[in-house]
Amino acid sequence: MSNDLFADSLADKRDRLVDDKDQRVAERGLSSVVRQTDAVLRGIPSPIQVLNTTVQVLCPKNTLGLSFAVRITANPETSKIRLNASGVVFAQLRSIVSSSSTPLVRAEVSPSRVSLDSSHMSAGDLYSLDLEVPIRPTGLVDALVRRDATHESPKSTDSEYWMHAQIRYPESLTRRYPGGFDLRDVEFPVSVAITEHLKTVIPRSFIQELEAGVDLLAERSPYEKDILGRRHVAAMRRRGHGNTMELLGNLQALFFPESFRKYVEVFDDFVYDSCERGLSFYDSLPFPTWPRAMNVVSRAQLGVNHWFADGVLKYKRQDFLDRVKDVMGLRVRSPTQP
Amino acid sequence: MVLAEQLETIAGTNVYVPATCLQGEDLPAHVRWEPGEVTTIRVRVPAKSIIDRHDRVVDFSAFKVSGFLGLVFETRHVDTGKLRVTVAFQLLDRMGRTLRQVEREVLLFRPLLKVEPIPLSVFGPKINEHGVTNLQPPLGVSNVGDGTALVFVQLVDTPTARISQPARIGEFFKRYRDDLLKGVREVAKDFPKYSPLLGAYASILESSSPPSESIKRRLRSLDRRLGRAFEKSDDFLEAFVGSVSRAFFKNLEVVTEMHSFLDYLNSIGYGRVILMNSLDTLHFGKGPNVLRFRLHVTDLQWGEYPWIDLEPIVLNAMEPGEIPVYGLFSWSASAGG
Repeated sequence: MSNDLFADSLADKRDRLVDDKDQRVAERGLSSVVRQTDAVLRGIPSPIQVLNTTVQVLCPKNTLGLSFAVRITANPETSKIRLNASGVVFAQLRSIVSSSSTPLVRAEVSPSRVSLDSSHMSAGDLYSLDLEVPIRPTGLVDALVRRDATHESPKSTDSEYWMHAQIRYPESLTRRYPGGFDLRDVEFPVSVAITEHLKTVIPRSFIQELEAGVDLLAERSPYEKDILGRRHVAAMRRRGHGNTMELLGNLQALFFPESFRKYVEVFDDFVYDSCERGLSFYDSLPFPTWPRAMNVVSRAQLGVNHWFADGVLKYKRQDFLDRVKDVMGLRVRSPTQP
Repeated sequence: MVLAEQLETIAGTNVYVPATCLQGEDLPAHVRWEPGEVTTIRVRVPAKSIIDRHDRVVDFSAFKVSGFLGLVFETRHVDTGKLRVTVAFQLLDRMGRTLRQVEREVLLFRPLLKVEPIPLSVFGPKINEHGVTNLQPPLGVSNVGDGTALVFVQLVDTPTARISQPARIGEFFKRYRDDLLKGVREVAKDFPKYSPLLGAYASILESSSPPSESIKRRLRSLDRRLGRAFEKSDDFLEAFVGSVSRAFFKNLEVVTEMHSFLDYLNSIGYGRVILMNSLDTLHFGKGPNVLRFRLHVTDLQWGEYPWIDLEPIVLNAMEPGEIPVYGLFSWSASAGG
């Protein structure tokens, strides 16, 4: 049995810790990143001397952030220094320790080159040259990062979802990028189930009202329609709080990202990013507008020396159910309640 | 917080294992320690529940990155709904002496359906006190496990009765599915890279119920692949979601907002049960109908469970009739549910 990091499942047979295909994708991806970095390095002319390189994968933008610590070796002869760096989408030159009074050098980015304003540069100045290029290898982050999250928590406990991300091939990163390789804001989606107990806070009177409304809409006979209409109105009066469609609209609004966001909290190494209605593939029912789950996206930082991230996503179920009760007019709120 | 205790750091050593795990999920773990004396990490995992039939002890050494060991365990279904197991980590020096020993307890849980004694004969349909058309008495089923059960109800070897989609849902779903398939084909033209993925999605849309094991496997894979594709391309995500929305809203007149919310509520059972075909309807004939129900069960990660065949029951009907599938059962809530 091999003792390689991550190279072992504890069983000798089926091994899902390391996937050969993923490793090939990761190695190919890292090689491609090296080539992209080298191409940019070759385009940096004198009098700029590169002292150190760090690489970041900026996940949300799907770009590669290259930071070069550079020294100006001689006073520039022209007012602009041009870098032959095709595909650069962002560039800036920040002074690290500079005799210049301008900490940030103006950079112009065109499709095939970057021009840096060298009018204030002097020999000996130290800068950080930051460039961003679109990431070429696809699937690099997936291949490099193992993501695990629970599908649910046991029903007797709070609604907490553990999340864990770890770098799969740390030795590949340290070998290729001893100066640093970071994965910034790695996306981490978790599906948060929201239907539990929901039925218990929808009053029976409202369900009867819906049933009466549905029957009313389906009825063709004017006489029956009249009877059903009275039944529907009586059911609405019994409930006595807002009209049916307005209430359904208010319930829908709870699933808007900005509303639902109040009911999730993310702890430890992860930070909340966004949420959206979850898709259900198994439903043979026509209610995509009523989600069973919300997809909550958190983000984490990984890289050389940050091999893992662990955290918890907490769904404040009771608060959400209380809000549903509010919408249904079932809860009397004190003036101090939010 | 449940997980807080798992994060304690013992003398520069941090051992992480989640405190809970749905049986069948992968269980990640890591050990972080101050580089120096540690040369071997011995991991002991328990029998049956994790990975193998026997207790396993495995030594990890010659670390390529000093101070960090990452692991992922496979977990398995066990017969019980809840099982507490211990994963033990021993950090050893080159002489084999134990420098640290850390144990982590994990609660492995799953859905577990318990069927109440089935009556020999039943009557139906009856309108119960809540106005729901149901079997009298309804079949008592409860989820005594801690995980969510997705249940699909099927009728087997019953010539006098059948379960089928109500016309309203059938009409909506056919139109919705046809439009969605058209939309998906358009998306595939614009994103040829994802054409095989969209083909897999379309074939699942066209597949028949109940979900077979192969469909569950395909769903698991599809779920993962679509997630990755969405992550890589916002444009693809937008086009895909757009095709789903267009198909839905185009056919919305068939199903009202009120109907859809009722259907949604009716599909939810108590105690973490979701009925996958809640709106299907049992159609039965006049006279005695010998009903043999089969419950197909899965969990939120499409785990494979044996189906449950209920004892046959006789429904004596004065005349032909129908009952929605959600009206066949009473889902008793179990503790904590």
